[in-house]
Amino acid sequence: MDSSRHFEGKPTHRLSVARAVSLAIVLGVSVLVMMGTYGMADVRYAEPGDLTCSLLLTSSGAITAGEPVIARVEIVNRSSETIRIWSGGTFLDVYGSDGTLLASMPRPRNVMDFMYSTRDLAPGESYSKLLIVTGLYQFATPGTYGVRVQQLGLPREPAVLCENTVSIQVLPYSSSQLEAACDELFMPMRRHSSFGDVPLSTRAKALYSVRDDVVLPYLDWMAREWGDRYACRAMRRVRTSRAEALLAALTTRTDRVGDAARQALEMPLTSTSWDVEGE
Amino acid sequence: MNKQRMERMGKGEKVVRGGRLLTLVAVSVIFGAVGVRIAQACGCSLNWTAGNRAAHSGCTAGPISAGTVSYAGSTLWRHHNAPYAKGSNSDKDCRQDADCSFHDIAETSFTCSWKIQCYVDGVWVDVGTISGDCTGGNWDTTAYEPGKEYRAKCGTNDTPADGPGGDDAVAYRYSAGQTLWAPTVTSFQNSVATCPGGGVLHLEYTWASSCGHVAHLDKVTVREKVTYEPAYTAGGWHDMSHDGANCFTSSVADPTTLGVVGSDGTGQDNHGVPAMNGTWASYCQAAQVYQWATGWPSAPAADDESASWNDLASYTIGRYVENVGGWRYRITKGGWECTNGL
Repeated sequence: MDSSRHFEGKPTHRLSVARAVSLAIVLGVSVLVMMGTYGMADVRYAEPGDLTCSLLLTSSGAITAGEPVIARVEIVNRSSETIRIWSGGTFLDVYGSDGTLLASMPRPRNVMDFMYSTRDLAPGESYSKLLIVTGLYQFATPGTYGVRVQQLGLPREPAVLCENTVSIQVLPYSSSQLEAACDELFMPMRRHSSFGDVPLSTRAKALYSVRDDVVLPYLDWMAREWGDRYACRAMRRVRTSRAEALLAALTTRTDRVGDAARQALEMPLTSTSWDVEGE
Repeated sequence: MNKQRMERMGKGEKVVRGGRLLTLVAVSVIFGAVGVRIAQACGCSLNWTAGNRAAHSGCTAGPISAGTVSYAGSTLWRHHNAPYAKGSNSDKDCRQDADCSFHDIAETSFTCSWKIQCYVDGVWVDVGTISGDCTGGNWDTTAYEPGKEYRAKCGTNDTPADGPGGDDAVAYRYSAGQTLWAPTVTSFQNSVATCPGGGVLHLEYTWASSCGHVAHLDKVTVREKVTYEPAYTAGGWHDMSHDGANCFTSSVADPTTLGVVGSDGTGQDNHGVPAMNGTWASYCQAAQVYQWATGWPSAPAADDESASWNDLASYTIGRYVENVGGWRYRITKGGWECTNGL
């Protein structure tokens, strides 16, 4: 579009002198209010050295291939003052045993209009969150892997405020072990019982992250019970004929389950931060 | 009552011993014929029935009359404790004594167990157990999907072991079915607007929950959706240079969809400054809308266009490079404006 036309069309150019004076007063007051408000925000953003990050993957440090993995990240304010961190600023990367980067949560890039939320941490206070590691990378092959967590800063250049890397041992595939892991995530959903340390949403996303036919009954239940389009998309991500057949059967339904299945066909399969972020 | 009676009978037997036994034998011999006649005339042992039969002259016993179940709260929100009230219970059991007479005996205690039912495909189905007793129940709705219809079910049972011996069937009472509501975003408003420097416009927003607890918006995503002038967007990226007409050189995701979880209750928005290559009159406009949507079991992804997004506020964002007696960068959004000299 022609930029000059926009300048000429700006309403302020057509204001009378009296209105312009009034507007100037209002704007002046507004600026003072804005400045005052800004001045009140005395909590500073965290800087490198203020935080430590810890990462707990599993109690044993080992899983079998294909199992869902939920990590608990804890960020602690080690400084002597209250600091502000970006709530969504926790990112994971997965490395092979030789240090090769296998998967990385995309960092914000060229975001001109950037909505986010923050959390203030008092000295010594910690902030804990769950991340679904397998939402980023499924450990399909046995071996040793490294998982790195980074907390990035805001609001300017996203500097790394803290990071930590832990290793995870992936044992050979076991369908019974995978089923047991899925069961453990699933049973509280079915019973509407206490979800313990792992909330419902995190459990569901962990099940979405499995790429094996073993998970299909659980996804099918979520699809039928909740009309869950993300469960239907997870079927697509399994990419087996059985999964495709299951999803195809759901798409023929005329209720909300069918709607969810059809919506899932339009959803991108690429993993995003949503797939990784727990509660 | 029955138990106490049996205990009393037991104590009576224990005191009959030694010399008293001889006396009892003698009395039995003397009055034996009379005793036989009493037994023949009655011959009834202690007997209980929970209900009444035509032959039970003097009894009006029937099934348990369970008190009604009703919801005792206001709007039924997810993530709340939903209280249910229970009316009092009553029951009469019929006792036949050794003299063959029948008597009503009121049940003295009951047990109550609670479940939650969901209306699925035309049928009420048990979907969970909740806490409660015979005065009421309490349902923690956190783990239940909103949008569905639920009701409480209370089963009242008698306790024959510590009272009348009639064992009635469990009596069920149900509350009226109600929709479980997901909390919604309300009172979305700007709380802070600043120009922190360099031409950046920083805004903060707050919102509340219709249920009164913003922390309950954990299945809600509040997002921004920013779209730029489509003529210069390709492959999901907007060229802010507008094919070289602007001095801006940045490319931005179009649309830009970023969100925060509703339970945060607050969101911040930084409107940054594009990279530039030179200085000449330039303008780039974007349309921004703040929206919210709820999901289950998770809050929807910010870029999920199949979610049902509800508008909260809309703005036009303008980015300018202009000469006002000197070149400057200026950003406007709604009534806000920040500038930076170039």
